[in-house]
Amino acid sequence: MQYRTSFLLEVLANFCYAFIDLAATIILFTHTPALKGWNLAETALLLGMTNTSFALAELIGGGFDLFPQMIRQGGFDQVLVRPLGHFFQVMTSEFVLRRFGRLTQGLMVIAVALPRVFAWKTVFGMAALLLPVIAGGALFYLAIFIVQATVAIWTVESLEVFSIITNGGNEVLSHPLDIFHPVLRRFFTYILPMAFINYIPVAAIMGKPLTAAGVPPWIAWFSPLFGVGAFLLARRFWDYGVRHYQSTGS
Amino acid sequence: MFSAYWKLAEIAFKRQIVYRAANLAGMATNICWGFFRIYLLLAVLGSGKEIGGLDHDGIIIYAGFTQAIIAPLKIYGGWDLLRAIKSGEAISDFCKPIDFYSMWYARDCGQAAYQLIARGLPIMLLFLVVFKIQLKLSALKGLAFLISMSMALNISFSWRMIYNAIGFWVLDARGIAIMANAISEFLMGFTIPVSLFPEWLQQVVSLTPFSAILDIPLAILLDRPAGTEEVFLLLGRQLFWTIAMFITARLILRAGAKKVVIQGG
Repeated sequence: MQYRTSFLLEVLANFCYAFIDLAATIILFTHTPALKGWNLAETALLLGMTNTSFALAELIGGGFDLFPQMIRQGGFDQVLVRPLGHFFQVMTSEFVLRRFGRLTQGLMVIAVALPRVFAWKTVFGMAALLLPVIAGGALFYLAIFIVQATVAIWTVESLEVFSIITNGGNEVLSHPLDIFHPVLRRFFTYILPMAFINYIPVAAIMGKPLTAAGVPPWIAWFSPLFGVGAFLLARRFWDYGVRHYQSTGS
Repeated sequence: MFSAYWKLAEIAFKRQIVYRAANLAGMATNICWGFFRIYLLLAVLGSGKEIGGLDHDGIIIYAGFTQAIIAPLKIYGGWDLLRAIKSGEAISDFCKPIDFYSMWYARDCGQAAYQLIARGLPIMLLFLVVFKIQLKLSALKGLAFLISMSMALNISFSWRMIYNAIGFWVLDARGIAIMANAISEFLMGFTIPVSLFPEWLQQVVSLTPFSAILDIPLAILLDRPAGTEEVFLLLGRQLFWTIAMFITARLILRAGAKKVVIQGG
């Protein structure tokens, strides 16, 4: 019974953390009607979408978070011996249920923000359009988790620097890209195209100018593909890492 | 006895040097987050003169300061005591002929000193230099700031002791502790400045000890107090919370000690 309580508490704690970001954003908007042309509802939509994608990736890819530990304790050798694919085994090794806290927050925010951004008639249509975008976003975050885990094959410890991309990226994407320095904008559009997780598709759907990102509007239709591409690349890198691990004979 | 505490602090300080690489990585993370915060707050500021009493320079100082204190004040949570409780180390610590709170505090001071010098200071300086901020310094302000920071460190330590001590009574204390710490982070003005909170929330914050951790040294940095008298008032308020949290932490630790030592963990 105590474990169930503590689990609920961790979910609540997770929700709390995510909610605090939302509360901060709401408070900031009491000091300004808009952030570079994006109002609270629109910004909240961005926030909800990236948090949802992030939470989904955390839920599915929780196993990758624990991968460095698995390597250190020698558990990965056992994984390699089993007839099941190593990627699948590691990915499903841990289902981080407490991430449901952040997922709940993300979905709630989207549910509240969506009708405030789009007319009621179009809300469900927009939701349908954004569903693949969110899925693509989840794949993108998952790709980064996979790369982070794979690098541990060489470095043994997980590199904190990745949290700048995952948590930092989530923080950046929770706000309209317009407010950030051009270098940051270009980084998240061309070098690590995380802007396709929420900003570019949402801006395109709303007819907002994409000058901040500097991409033509039609590319927004391919947003989920960036996540898919990232995932496939990460998968490739993982296979490469595992081959290296096997060849060096742990 | 004091030499024992000094030794503990020294050892804790030296231990940090080993983690230089991790420190650098952490610093890089802090700096990135600082930049994110700055852009966000500057966007809120827009073309206005100030938000919540913060002008352009104030925003940079706020961002630099909040990032600088992450490591020394363990803003994201310090779990050493909880770990010691779970491993049983805490029990042996209680049996030592040295005051538990003071022993842990000495260690914390050693760690904090290192983090302030090796991480906090460079972060703060980086933001000041990059954004070309001139920090107005005066002997009085410097002294007030140092006193304020020491009190902030102590309050933060007492707070950490308190939420870690939940582990004496609850099997899986981490969930509650994380939530409590997250709320304290927000209320102390770490996510966004307290001066931006709606009035009613600012009132709520002033009733908590968290108002005395970040906001008061920050106010001194930003030259908010209009004169020496106001500086004394601020420091006085901080002193009140320092003492209150000190007493509370010690009482809770004593209760915890009774529980584990008498009931055998």
